[in-house]
Amino acid sequence: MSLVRAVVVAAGRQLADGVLALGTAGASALMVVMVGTTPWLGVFLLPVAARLNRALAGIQRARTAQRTGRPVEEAYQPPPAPVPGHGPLRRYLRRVGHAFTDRTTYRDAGWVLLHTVVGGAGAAWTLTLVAAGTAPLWWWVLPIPAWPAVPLPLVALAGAATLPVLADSSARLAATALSPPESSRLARRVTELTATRAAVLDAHEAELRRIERDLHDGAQANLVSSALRLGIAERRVRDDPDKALALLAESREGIEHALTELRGVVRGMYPPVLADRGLEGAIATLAVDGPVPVRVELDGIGRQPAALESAAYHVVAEALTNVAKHSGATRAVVEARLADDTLHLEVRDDGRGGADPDRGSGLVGVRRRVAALDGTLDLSSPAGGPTRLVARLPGAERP
Amino acid sequence: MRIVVVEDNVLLAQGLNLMLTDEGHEVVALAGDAAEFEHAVAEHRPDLAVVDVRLPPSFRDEGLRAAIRVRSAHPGFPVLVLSQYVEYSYATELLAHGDGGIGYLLKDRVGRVSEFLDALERVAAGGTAMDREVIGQLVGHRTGNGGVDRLTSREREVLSLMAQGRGNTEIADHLVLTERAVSKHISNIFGKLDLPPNTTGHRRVRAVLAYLRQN
Repeated sequence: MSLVRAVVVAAGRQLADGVLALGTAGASALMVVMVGTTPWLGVFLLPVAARLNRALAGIQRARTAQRTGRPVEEAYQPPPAPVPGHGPLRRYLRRVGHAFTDRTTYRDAGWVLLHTVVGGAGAAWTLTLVAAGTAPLWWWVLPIPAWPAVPLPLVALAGAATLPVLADSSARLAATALSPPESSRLARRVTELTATRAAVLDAHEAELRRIERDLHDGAQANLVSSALRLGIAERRVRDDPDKALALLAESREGIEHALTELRGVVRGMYPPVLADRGLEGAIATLAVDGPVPVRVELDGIGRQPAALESAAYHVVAEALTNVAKHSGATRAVVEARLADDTLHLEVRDDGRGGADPDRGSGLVGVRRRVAALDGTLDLSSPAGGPTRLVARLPGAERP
Repeated sequence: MRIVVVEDNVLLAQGLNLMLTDEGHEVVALAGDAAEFEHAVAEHRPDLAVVDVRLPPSFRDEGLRAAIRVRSAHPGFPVLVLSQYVEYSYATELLAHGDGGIGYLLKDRVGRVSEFLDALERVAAGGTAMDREVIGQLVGHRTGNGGVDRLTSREREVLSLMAQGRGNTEIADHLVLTERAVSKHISNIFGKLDLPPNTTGHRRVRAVLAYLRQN
């Protein structure tokens, strides 16, 4: 049965390829005619053709991914940003230039030609087999001697066995033809890394500024004020001991406040409990700190690289802060587990939802942290709740 | 003295108010930002202002810029600027804009009340009070400073105190020397550094700072 299914599926694919080939044939014919008859018009229409090719290639990418089970990467250059002050014509000319210089345009065009041939041939072969297999059914229509109709379905059946193999080969061919060359992949990776690195530096800078502000407004101010009170007390201790005593008490309070502030700053930088007890201990501490009851489910995470632990900690800390501040939730759950080399973190609550991922600097900062580790952070928070924050952090180690 | 305190941190504003009042001064206004500061000076005509460098809204150097503005609107108005960090470049900006008493001290210094009050008096009398940290950035941490290298360690101490804006009497007290000995040290320093002799007050501080900076 499974063989029959495979054959039917493959036949379907081949026929769909044929339809797509008709499209690509049309597109290439159109291009050839355009460029051949009126070259200047063809040049002008290049961006349109490139976009058409891109759409067709996109369809084929999706179909190929479906067949091979592996996504086919896209590596298009971003279109040129419109220059303010340019009229529609100059803007269009820039697009023409871009279509000419983007090498994926040529790659797509190459695939269009290839697919016209390969896809067309595959579809023709499939149609032939279908025709042969069903020959006895419509044989009577044709005024030809009946004898070839008897073995034809058998031949078609044998031929049908080739269909899955052909479908796989053509999918592989399409995957190769449509995948960006290694150099584009690397170029894109470099762009990505440059962006995340810049984001990390920005986040780092913002973090340092925040720490400086916290120290300035908190610990330093408290210490200066305590020193001032001690100074006054020093001068008054003989003639007004009561006043001096009161000032001493105020100074002590000021110093205690300063210490509290310093602890807060240290905790914000790198919580000592994270260093001592790892993620499990640190998350457990976070969970009991807030006003909302939190259930923690950590599935044997063990110790992880410091950068990963720190990022995970800040994800959970930010999420729980938001739960406490904005969600109106009555309970929350923190889950963490390892899958291969990725740490999956999820924080969800039963609150009112409607959280905006771009609002508030906290989540943005956490997102940058996560991106710096090649991780992802997804927030789903429909109005009415519930809110789910999911982080995936690669680079984890087996405990 | 009638004093305006410009400090946005309530804790510190209260502390300064307490200390100044306790020492017999009158705090005529507590200002929380630059606009309030300028307004208070125009309204109360105080003898001096104590100004925090960082003020709202941007918490950068509003206090410093406000001090410079106030001193150009009220020439010679004495201002003592307080900051949690002192930077040489801020010190020169303050010294470069206008005459009259000017001070620039680390906030930490307020704990040493009598020294702080001395500085306050000096600024109110038209003198200079530069934090020793600012001078420290220039003297001592540098090597290869030709002129300064030729100074004896005692002369270097005198130079630092001079750069802080202290008068000869104060320097003598501070180092437990006679005023005559201080004068001698100073003329030696001016000779070794090739500075114009007999300059006093503001101009002396400026000359010393300029020298230290150049070399």
